[in-house]
Amino acid sequence: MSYTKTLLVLLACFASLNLLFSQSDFEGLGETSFAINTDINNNYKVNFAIRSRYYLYQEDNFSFENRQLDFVHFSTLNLDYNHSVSFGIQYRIRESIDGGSNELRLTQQFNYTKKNEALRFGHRIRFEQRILENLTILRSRYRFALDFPLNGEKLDIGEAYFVGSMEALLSNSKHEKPELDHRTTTQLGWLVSEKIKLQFGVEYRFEAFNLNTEQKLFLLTSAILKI
Amino acid sequence: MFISQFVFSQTKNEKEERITKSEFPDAAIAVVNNLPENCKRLKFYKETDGNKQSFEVKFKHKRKRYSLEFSKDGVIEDLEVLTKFKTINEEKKSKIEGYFKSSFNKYKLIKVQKQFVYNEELGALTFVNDVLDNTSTEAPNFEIIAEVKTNKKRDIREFTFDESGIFVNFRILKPTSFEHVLY
Repeated sequence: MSYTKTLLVLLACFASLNLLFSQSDFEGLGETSFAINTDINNNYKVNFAIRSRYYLYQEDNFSFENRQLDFVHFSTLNLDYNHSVSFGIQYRIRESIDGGSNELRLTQQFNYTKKNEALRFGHRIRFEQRILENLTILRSRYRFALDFPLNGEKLDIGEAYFVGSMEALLSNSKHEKPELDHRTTTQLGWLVSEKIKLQFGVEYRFEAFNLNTEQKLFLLTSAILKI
Repeated sequence: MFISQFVFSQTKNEKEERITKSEFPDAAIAVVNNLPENCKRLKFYKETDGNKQSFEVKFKHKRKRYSLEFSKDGVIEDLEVLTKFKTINEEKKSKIEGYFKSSFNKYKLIKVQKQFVYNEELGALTFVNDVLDNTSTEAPNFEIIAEVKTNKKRDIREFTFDESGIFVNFRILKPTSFEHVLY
């Protein structure tokens, strides 16, 4: 697929974004992350990431405001070539940025992928314990993802790829009603060199849609370094 | 230093890309044009590995997946058909299984293909049609991609077994650079 086509897809995303701006229960945010992946050995790999989230649009106004900063670590054990188990720990700094609660998050994850020629399907189940200052939230999530290179069946250096996913989330905590969320994500990535991947995309979230739906659009940018 | 640069430039030169039929070598286009009409979903690929170039057309015929490989000059190299391991002839199957069991602590088959190597005497048309009609007199090799575990090390290899199921060789496949975006 040509780069002009890729560009058109991105433009279409931004065009639809403009339409959504008329809603008042709507917020637009951006998330930028930088991640480092390392293979310790065949079976074990580690990931470190820094992620920043910021408001771009809230209360019917465009404005830039930092929201939080995440420090993330994941350890992944490959059970075989397409099954893996991961454990994650994340610290979120929010209090000194926008006044929200800081958070310690523990994650347990199971991932399964299935490849069919160029298409690859991924099923991911996560359990999270979000430990906030006055509250602990237990969250279960399931994500279905699909990815493929934009040219041929194999991703070569210099080529672009597409990643799309849908995720359902259920949050439980002691004093609040269970909350259901849904997220749809599309991203375009580019394998710049053997070690560097760049990704851009959008994520649309329906948060607490069983209670009082809030809609959020995220603009995602990330750089992934493999060493 | 020199070695590392060499390795790097090698990876850079390896490329598989989807192309159009018109970009195929002329001799290969002629073969493709003569494929039976019920060959569906034709897709054309070009592979570059250093200075070596090859071409491949993938298609479906009677619900089976084929891949026909050509050299740079458009001469057929082989025709591969995707199969299920359990459908292989018992005797050959047990030989192949025996090889895996005795050579590795653990193994898992990922992809199994029957490989018909091109026989020039037959000519392109007869060769392809015989395989598609299941009337080929040549017994195929078996090309098997499997994940194998030896001691603590695990890798994905492509094995070749001859027409009677005897191990011929293997090559280690590079773990794909296309990793799932887990985080």
